[in-house]
Amino acid sequence: MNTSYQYSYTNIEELLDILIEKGLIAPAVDQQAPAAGDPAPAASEQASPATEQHGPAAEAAPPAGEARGPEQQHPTAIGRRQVQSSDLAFVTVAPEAARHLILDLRDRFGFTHLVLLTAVDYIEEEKFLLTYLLHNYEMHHDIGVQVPIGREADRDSAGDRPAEANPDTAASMESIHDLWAQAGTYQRELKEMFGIDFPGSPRVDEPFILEGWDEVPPMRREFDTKQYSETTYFPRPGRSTNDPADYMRQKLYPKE
Amino acid sequence: MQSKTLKETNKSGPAGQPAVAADAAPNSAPQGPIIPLTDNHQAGRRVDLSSGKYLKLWQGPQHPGITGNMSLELTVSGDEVVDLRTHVGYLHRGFEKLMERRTYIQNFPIVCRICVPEPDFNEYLYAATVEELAGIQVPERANWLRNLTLEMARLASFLQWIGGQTGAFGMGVIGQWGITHRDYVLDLFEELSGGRIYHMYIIPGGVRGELPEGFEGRARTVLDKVENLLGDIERAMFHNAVFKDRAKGLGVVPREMLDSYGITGPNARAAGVARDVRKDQPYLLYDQLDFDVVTASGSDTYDRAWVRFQEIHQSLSLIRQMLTRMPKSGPIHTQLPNPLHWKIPAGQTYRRAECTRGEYGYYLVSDGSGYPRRVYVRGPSYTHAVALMESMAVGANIADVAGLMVSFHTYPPEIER
Repeated sequence: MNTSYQYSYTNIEELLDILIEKGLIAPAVDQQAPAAGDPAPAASEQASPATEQHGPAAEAAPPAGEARGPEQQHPTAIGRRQVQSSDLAFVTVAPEAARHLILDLRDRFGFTHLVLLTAVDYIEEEKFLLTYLLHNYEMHHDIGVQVPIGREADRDSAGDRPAEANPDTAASMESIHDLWAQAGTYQRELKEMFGIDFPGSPRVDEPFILEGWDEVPPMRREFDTKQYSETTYFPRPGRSTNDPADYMRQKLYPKE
Repeated sequence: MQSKTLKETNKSGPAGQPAVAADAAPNSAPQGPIIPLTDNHQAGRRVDLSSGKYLKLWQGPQHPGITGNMSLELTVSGDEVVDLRTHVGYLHRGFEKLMERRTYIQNFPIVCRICVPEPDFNEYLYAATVEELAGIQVPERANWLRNLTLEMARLASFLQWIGGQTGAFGMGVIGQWGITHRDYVLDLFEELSGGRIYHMYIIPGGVRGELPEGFEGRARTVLDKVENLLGDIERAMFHNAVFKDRAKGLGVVPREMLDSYGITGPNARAAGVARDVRKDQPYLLYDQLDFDVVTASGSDTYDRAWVRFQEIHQSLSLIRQMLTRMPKSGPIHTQLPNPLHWKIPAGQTYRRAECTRGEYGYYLVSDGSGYPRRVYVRGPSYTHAVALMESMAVGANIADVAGLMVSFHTYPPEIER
């Protein structure tokens, strides 16, 4: 039990229940939906005995008008919860709810350590999924707060915000540099590598690793490393190439 | 917002602080480049390079006092550092992007390159995340061998760090001793895996090979050699007036900075906080091994060095325990599916381990295909070398910058990734 914080909990399922009770995360999505082909439970069944959260709070009916079905279980679906193991869980929340949740987790639940802040590019959904991983040093639990945001560049290269920028699709997120000192570095890297803007974050527009880069931000999935290097760097003729997959195929299936 | 002119401000800087111009008043047009200061505590303050009071210096990327290819952009006033910015990107970069385009098994030769002096943590953590998502069980003896290589990597890395820490304070001889003994450990790795630096020994499902004939005896000989050396190092380094004089009180990290800067590992333990992933969330066989978390109270360069020095002793003890208690035979690898058609079920996970510098972690996202959707490497240097270093260097003497940086034990490739 952690005692020095406002809310105490004993295990990570209980933590998620408290978070729902306090209205910090959305109630569970439809618990009947997970079926064959649903990615999340398939992973956790094989990985650990822990499966999707089906606590008492999950009995609560989802808000009316919300779509049901397996697609709700995609990591970018708001309200998704995944208990990966006895000390690690992921929750997906809306961008406007994220800062409040992170602040409460830090100050009221004891998740004082920002382990990492990164993004995953779900290009097929036109979404980035930001992941804030927080660690509780008393309970030794981790919770990943995941925030889906849009992929469209929020500002042009001159730094001006285009008038038609849509807050729902813009690659922009509230900054947390005031909560952790190292968050500014993470946000600077995300700006450079994914083109995600964090207005107000210190030095966010300074280059982190790249100098004079004017291509697509390189960690976006539409950036093709191979094509870039072939067109940018001088091709050297006369080199033979060995495709590892072809080589392995010949070794394993010589008859074909 | 103060309205002093630059001249006045420079004359009457606060006691003990370099004179730093306040935000320029509206009517005092800047004469030259005005640099905003980076440190959080000095937000909004700027230095005027044209005033002749300040000098910009680059320490690195080619500088003997820099660990790896990193560079520190210093703004100095006299010999006092006013501002520091960390620049990375000179060595390896783009690992995470490369990994998204390669199959799970093809990523193994890549991950070990993320941290040159102790690649095994990358191999272990990548293997552990892949195994967790794929539901692969590892045989017990393979876990012992993994644990053994992780501790040997810790020993080798600390022996190299000793060279950096003492070399930065002008005691090169101790560095030579450390590097020599690190080579003995690397010889053991060469026997075990065929590689001195990059071992690629830990693979999904287990480890790649058995211990060679007579390995245990040779390993114990090396451990004895290192233990003898540690006695010499203690006398020549920790009882040395020069080292004490320069390291005591240098770079004191206040305890309240630990959480707000995400400080882990020996840097946190030197401040008196007993946090060690090996104890707190035991992985591999650390819950069966006998060791205590080393802490100190001063939180300065000397205490950080002392914590690491004690952890070398601890590492020797752990390796000896493992050599004694390890099962002598048994399977070391689980059969994997055909690597060409190996698909990992969709999911995401994070695994951490305690490396020499703090919390090392891998965040792996799989979308069910044969390629990882995202691999994120959480290296402790990310915050130690950037946010923490940029804050701690302010006010330090320029001659101490190298020693201060080594005392945070930073490796740039895990920042660049």
